[in-house]
Amino acid sequence: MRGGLLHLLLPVFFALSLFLGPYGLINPFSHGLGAFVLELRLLRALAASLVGLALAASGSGLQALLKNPLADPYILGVSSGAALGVLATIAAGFIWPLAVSLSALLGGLAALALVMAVSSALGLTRTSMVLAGVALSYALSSIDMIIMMDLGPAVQGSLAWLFGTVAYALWGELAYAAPLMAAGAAWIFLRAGHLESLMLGDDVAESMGVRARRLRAEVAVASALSTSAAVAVAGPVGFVGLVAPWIARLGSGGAFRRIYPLSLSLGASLTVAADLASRFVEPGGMAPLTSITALMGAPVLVYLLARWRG
Amino acid sequence: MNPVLEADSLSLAYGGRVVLEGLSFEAYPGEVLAVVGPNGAGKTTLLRALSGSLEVAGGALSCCGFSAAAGERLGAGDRISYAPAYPDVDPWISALDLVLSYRMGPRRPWARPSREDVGAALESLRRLGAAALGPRRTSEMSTGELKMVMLAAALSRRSDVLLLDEPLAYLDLRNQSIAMSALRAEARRGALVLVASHELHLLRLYADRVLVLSGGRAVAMGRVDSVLSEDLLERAYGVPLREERALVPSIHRAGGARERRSYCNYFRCGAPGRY
Repeated sequence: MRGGLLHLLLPVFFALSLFLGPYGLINPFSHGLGAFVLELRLLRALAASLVGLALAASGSGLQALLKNPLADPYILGVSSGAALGVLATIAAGFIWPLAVSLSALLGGLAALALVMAVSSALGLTRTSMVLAGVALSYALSSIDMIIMMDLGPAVQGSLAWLFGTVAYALWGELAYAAPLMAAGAAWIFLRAGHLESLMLGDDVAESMGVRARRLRAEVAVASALSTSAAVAVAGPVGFVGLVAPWIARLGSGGAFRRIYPLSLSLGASLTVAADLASRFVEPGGMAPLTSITALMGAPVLVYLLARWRG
Repeated sequence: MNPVLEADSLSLAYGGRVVLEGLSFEAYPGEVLAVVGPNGAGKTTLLRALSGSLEVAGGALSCCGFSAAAGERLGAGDRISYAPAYPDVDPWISALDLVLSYRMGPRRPWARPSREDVGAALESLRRLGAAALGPRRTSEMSTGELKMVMLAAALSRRSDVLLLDEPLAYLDLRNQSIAMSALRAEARRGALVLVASHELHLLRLYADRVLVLSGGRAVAMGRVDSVLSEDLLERAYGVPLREERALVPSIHRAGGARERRSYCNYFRCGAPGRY
C-alpha cells in the first residue's frame, strides 16, 4: 500500500461529513435549513481536519525526534497541562468557550515549558524529555483529579471536553487556533531535513552541522504549539497523533520526507471520519472522539502491522 | 604534500573530564591512518571532535581548510563523513533511505533525491556487498549488516575525510576484508581514511600509519610496521605480553586451543594471511 491514494481519503470523508448525518443525505441547496446545517457541518469538518492535522504533525515530529514509536503529542505533558488549565478555569467560574480554549492553550504551553526546563537540566536527551514529560503528566493528572472532585455538577460539562469533541467548536476559536496549528505543523516541516539527519543518530547529525539539542527544543515547542491549539478547539483527542504517523510509515516507508505529508493527511482523515461516526453513535454527535478514533484506528494499525510482519 | 588534517596541542574533554591532552599530529590525503589504544584512551572522543560533534577544549584543530580553537567545534560539513561505533539509527528507515539521507544531509524539506543521489547510494551498497539490504528496515538487520550499511552511507558522500569508529567490529571475516578493501580504495581516490579500531592484525595489513593513544596522550605515531612493536603495545595496553605468551602453551595443554588463537591474534598482531 504505497503511494498517494491514501491522500484521497481526506476529500472523501470531508464531503461525507458535509452532506451525511444520522437522518441521511441533505441537499444544502434545496432550502434554508440545508444551508444552516451545511454551515454547522462545515465548521465541524474544518475543525476536525485541522485538529487531526495538528495532532498528526505533532506525533510525527515527536516520533522522529525521540525515535520512539510510542511517542504521541501528549508525551510531553501538554494534555495534562491543558486539562489543568481548563479545570482551573471552570473551577474559578469562567465557563465561556473562549476562556476554556485559552486556558487549554496556556496550560499546555506552560506544561511544556516546565518539561523543557527539567529536561534541559538533565541534558535535553531523548530519555530526559520522555521521563520529564511522563513524570509531569502524572503529577498534573493528580491535580486534575483533585480539582474535579471539587467541581460538583460542573464535572459533567468538563468531562465532555476532556474526552475530546468538535461539537462545541466555534468560528472564533478556530480563527485564532488555526494559525497556531498551521504554524506548528509548518515549523516541523521546515525542520524535516534536519529531523531526517537526526534519524541517523545524534553524532552523525551533529557531524552534518545539525545541533541536536537545539533541534529537539525547536520541534518540541512546535509540537506543543500545534497540540495545545488542537486541544483548545477539541479537547485532548487521543490516538490520532500516535496512529496516523504509524499508518503513514507502514504505507510509505521510513523516510521522514515521505511520512510527514501522508501522516498529516491521514490524521485529518481519521478525525473527520471519527466526527462523522460520532453522529451515528449518539444523536447530536456528542460521542467522545477519542473512543471513536481508537476504535477506528486500532484495527487498521493491527492489520497493517500483521501484514508488514507477514 | 599538504596535510588535510592537523591537530596542534589538542585537548579534548568529555563529561567534564579531560580525555586527551597535548595531542599533535598531521594526516595526509590518500592515507589510511589507524587510531589504536586501550578502551577509554580517547579514540572515540578524538573522532567526535574531528567530526564536529564535540567542542575543542584546548589547542587547535584544522581539517579541509576549516579550523577550530578552544570552545569551538570543527564544522567541515560534507567534506567529512563520520560513522560512529554504535549506529543509533531510526529502526524503521530502510537501508537505501538511510544511505540517501546520509548522502543528502540536512537539506531543504522540499528537496528530493536526484537520479545521481540514488545511483550513488545504490553503488555504495553494491561496493560493500550490501545491495540486497536496500529495502530492508534497520530493525530487521543484524548489527554487522547495519555497520556495513552505515559504512556504505559514509562512502556514498565521497568526502575528503572519512572518520570511522570501529568499522570492523561485529563484521565477519568476509565483510572485514570487503570493508578494508573499500577503505583502501577510498585512500587511492585521495581521501584521508581515519580508522579507530582494536583489530590490530587487520590494521597491520591495511593501514599506512598508526597513532597510538594511551592514558590521554599520544604515545607513538608512525608507519604501522615500525610502531606496532611488542614493547610499545606492552606500554600502551599495560599488558605484559611476554608473560602472556609464556602462558599460552599451558593454556594449550589444558585444551584451550581457542584461547591460544585469540591471544596470539590479539597481542602479537601477527598477519593472519589474506582472506
